[in-house]
Amino acid sequence: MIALVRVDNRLIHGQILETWLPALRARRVLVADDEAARSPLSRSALTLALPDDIPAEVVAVDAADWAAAAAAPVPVLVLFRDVEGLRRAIGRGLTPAIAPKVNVGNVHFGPGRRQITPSLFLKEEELLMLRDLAAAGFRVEARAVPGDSPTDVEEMGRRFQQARG
Amino acid sequence: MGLLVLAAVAGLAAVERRGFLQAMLSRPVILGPLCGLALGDLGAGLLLGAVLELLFLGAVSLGASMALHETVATAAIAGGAALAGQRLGGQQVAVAALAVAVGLPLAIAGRLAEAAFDKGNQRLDERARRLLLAGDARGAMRCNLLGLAAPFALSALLAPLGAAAIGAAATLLLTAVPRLARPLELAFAAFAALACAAAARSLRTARAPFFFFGSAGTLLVILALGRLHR
Amino acid sequence: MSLAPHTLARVFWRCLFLQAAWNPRGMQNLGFAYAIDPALRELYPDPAARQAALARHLGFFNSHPYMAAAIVGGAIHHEERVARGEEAADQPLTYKATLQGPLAAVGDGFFWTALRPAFGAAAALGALVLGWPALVAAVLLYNAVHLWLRFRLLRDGYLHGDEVVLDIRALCLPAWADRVRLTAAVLAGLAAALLVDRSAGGLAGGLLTAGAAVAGFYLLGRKAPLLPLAYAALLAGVAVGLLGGGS
Repeated sequence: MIALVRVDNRLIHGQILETWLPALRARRVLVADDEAARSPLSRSALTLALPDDIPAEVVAVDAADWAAAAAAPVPVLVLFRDVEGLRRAIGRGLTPAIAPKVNVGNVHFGPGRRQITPSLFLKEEELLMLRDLAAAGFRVEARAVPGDSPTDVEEMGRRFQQARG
Repeated sequence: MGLLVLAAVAGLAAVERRGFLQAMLSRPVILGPLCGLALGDLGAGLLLGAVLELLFLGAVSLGASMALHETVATAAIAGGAALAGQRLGGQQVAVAALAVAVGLPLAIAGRLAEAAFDKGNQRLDERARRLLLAGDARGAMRCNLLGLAAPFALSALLAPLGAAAIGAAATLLLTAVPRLARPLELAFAAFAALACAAAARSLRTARAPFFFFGSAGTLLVILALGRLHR
Repeated sequence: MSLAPHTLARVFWRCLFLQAAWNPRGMQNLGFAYAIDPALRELYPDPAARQAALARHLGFFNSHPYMAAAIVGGAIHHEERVARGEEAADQPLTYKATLQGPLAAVGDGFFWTALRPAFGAAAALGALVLGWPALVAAVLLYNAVHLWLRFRLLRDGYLHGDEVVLDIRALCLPAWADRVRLTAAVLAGLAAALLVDRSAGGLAGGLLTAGAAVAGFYLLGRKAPLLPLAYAALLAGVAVGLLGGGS
């Protein structure tokens, strides 16, 4: 089963290992990212920090088999680098029925982005995409680690409006 | 004079905690005795440093999610306890309990201040970019070091203020109501026990609590048997 | 590999200031540029070229402050090839972007949540049993470990570039992390027993301490916040003392 779908610019890093994997009791990690799948350096680096008993798979977004991930006997954590990758996966079989929970963790600052949480900077079209996901039945939240309190899509919208560009 | 030394030590420790080096010098177990020493009571610093280290064993900042500011709280608590201990000439444990009660909120104040400083550092980032565009690479790079000033100033200010407040409050209270000493000693015992529980919880490995309680229980039994024997 | 040893030494010193101007947008970006600057100055004698190189290293960067030394070294490795015209200018940036997350995970998992707590617990135990000499020993040993590792990582990153990942994998830090955490748990347990033994006098004290430890352990497991619990423990102690345990 898919325990959580998370958007995180840094893919596998400390917050994932120290907080999300234990909190979700996840036993497998699926990284869906074109750039990482293409680069041997990236593939070898991404598995560097994982303990031996938690296997990780790094695949291109279009090559991910969502039905297989959903059918896995253990909880799986799915990671995307950005909201755009997540959107493409939803066009290819990632549904609220097999992956109800979507978490937006770290998206770094860039041109046109506004601050939503200390670690989350969104563009307007990303906010709209997340709104669509929530409307489609995904439970969408923003937070960096499980111990933080979650921020829902409406609150994200409010903060986006309040934040200066 | 002692408070000035405390200010310098606490300021440097706050810099060492995140901006420079990260060599454990800002951890309670090291900083506590240093601050105690600065105000003339190493023993108080050793005791409080050990307890606060266990309490804050899990206080680590991962990425952008920030931990309690164990450094500024420890400096004020250990420094304040040393001050009061010197004035009262003893009552180390009761003083320690009061110091903790007055000083702990500084850990939250410190965290809030650090978050504000982080935001302020964005101006340093912008300034570095401007200077670099203008061809001043050296000046741009100096901006990095300017980020050390605010954490230093905050800790160098809050720690001696907190220590002075703790010293005054503890001296006043224990002189006015001496019969509070024993209840305060019990308060410190309960607080130390909680610190131990926090330490047991902070090591995020499934078997860690068993190892923790196994070793603690074994040693307690040995100590009790030793006392019976005597 | 052509960088002068004293340039590498300056880079090493500046690596220690990686988080000096940490900010939510670029995180360790200024620190990274500050650290790599002496190397860029040597690689790009032309001021305009150096400025361009420095500007590209002001982009977002965040990793573990110890492990980042490997990335600074590897970025210099790639910059050297850029300066010789063997690589495109975005290669050092790809290298940084690829390694920062994974190395942050390795560093957080080994240093921040295993080795430093273990040293903290050992030092707390040492402080209670032996006093300050134990603290001096703990600080010296911990510093020897992290400074040696940071220097090694910087050098290996510089010499080996992408292959530094293999050097890091060979250290087996995630496998060690679990053992170090269990060691830390044992040490913290011993320190806890000493503290409890010393501070809890009499039956009331003993029961109070046991109660505070058990309740605290349970409530922290239910995600109760630490500082309010600390005040609850202090108040409970005062209450017990005033209501009869005071003799």
